[in-house]
Amino acid sequence: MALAAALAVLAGGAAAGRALLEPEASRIGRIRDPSWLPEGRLVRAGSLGQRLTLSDVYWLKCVFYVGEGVLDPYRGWAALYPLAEIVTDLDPRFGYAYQVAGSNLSGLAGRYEESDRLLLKGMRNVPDRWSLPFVYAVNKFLYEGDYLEAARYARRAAEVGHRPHLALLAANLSLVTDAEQEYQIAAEFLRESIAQADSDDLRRQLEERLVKVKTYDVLSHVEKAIAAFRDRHIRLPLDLSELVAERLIPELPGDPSGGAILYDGATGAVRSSVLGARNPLRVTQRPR
Amino acid sequence: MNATSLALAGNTLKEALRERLLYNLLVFAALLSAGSLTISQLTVGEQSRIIADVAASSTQVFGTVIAVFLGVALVARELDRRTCYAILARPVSRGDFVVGKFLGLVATVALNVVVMIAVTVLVLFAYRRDAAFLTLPFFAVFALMVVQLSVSVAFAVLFASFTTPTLAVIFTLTLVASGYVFAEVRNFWLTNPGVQVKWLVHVLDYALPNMGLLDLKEALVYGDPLTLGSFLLRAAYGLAYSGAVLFLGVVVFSRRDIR
Repeated sequence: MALAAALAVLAGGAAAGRALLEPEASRIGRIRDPSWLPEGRLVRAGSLGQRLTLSDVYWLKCVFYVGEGVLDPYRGWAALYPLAEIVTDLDPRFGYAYQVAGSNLSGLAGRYEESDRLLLKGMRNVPDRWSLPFVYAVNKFLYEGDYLEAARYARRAAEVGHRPHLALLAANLSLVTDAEQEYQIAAEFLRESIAQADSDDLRRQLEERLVKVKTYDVLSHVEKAIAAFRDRHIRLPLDLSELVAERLIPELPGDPSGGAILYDGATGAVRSSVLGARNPLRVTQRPR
Repeated sequence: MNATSLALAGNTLKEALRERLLYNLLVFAALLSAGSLTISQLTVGEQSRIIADVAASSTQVFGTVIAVFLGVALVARELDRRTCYAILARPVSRGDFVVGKFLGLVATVALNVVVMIAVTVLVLFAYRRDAAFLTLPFFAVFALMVVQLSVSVAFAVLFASFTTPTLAVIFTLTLVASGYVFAEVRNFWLTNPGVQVKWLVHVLDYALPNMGLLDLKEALVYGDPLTLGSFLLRAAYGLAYSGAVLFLGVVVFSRRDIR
């Protein structure tokens, strides 16, 4: 009886102590200062053969850190990159960690440089994971405005993942760059993707995009010729034949989309009768 | 290895199976592996990876603890209680005694690993609902783990044969740990121009057990292909290494004055 009473008192004391320590208990394991996080390489050297499990432990910390950050928008994201570095130093092949931490660093935390660094590390260590160049491409076009790099990595994602539909995105990004070489690379990549397409619907979409790339290439050439003409003569050409006469284009351009290239002498605008003016960022909806 | 060693190994196995420590650690390891199902729910994606990691790690860690503590305890107890006198008074050489202890302990840790394989298979099956992970590399990973544990057992037997149990445990754990650490840092030391004493790294490369070569958990997690040649070479390395350590143990124990 006395023993039971003693046990009850002790258990009650422990329970009361636990309840009183609640603020402290919920702070355990919370990362306050990322400079206290260890170097991944040091943790790896001392992991005694358990680096994969340690990588999982830090990955769980990373997941909790992201969750806490979503709940507390004033906390900041300074520890996310160091945590992801530790996870991927311990297990350089942890592709999912690069992908999720990389996209959260840019999308949630707005830390694009860190996201890019992590994703590039991921691409070096897990070159066959298509989502890494894909997220990198998204960073480049959505947050950093580097469409050339975005197109390059979108093509890489399509190639690595054998996902020809990503060629559609890569082609659009190439169109935004409006660089002569990009039109050719995009067209070539679309041709390769058409050969790999595994459905008629995808093949049709890729073929349509190829026509768009070719048409925009023509429109871009004509626009540049018009600009050169204006620089030379301080006026707009009356019609496109003036560009041929000035040897700015070799011949009157045909429209790869099957229509005609139309020129407005009053404004200097040029467009395809089928696809309209060159406007790569225009949001279009496919007819149902 | 002869019939005497095998008989001693059988006795050592029976003795080890009577140890509570073995079951305590084994139950704990099995619970941890089964608990990985819950742990994996805390993350987003890659749950299967966490289950495989935790299961393999608990097999390895608890296997090492069992190998070291049980190995040292069983040999030291024979010397401490002088029960080895009764054995050595018969036509049993000291070499047979040491080899018998070693084989019995290796059989014990191998049984341990078999139990842990069963737990791991059950947990992975409960999560995945398919048995596609049951490939030859899956079992090869655990087979190499037995070889890895045999290195720990060999060190435990060597040190227990000439020093106190506490020191034997410390020495064994230190050498096994250094084998893991060295496997991680050797490439850095060999390629870093700042490291001047490369010859020492090469010496350590051969002197210490390269536990990394016997550790294929990464192949388990990522489903890497494993060639038979690579598996056999790794197993041969581990067995030869533990054989060399055991040989030292035989030499030391044969020369020891155990009166």
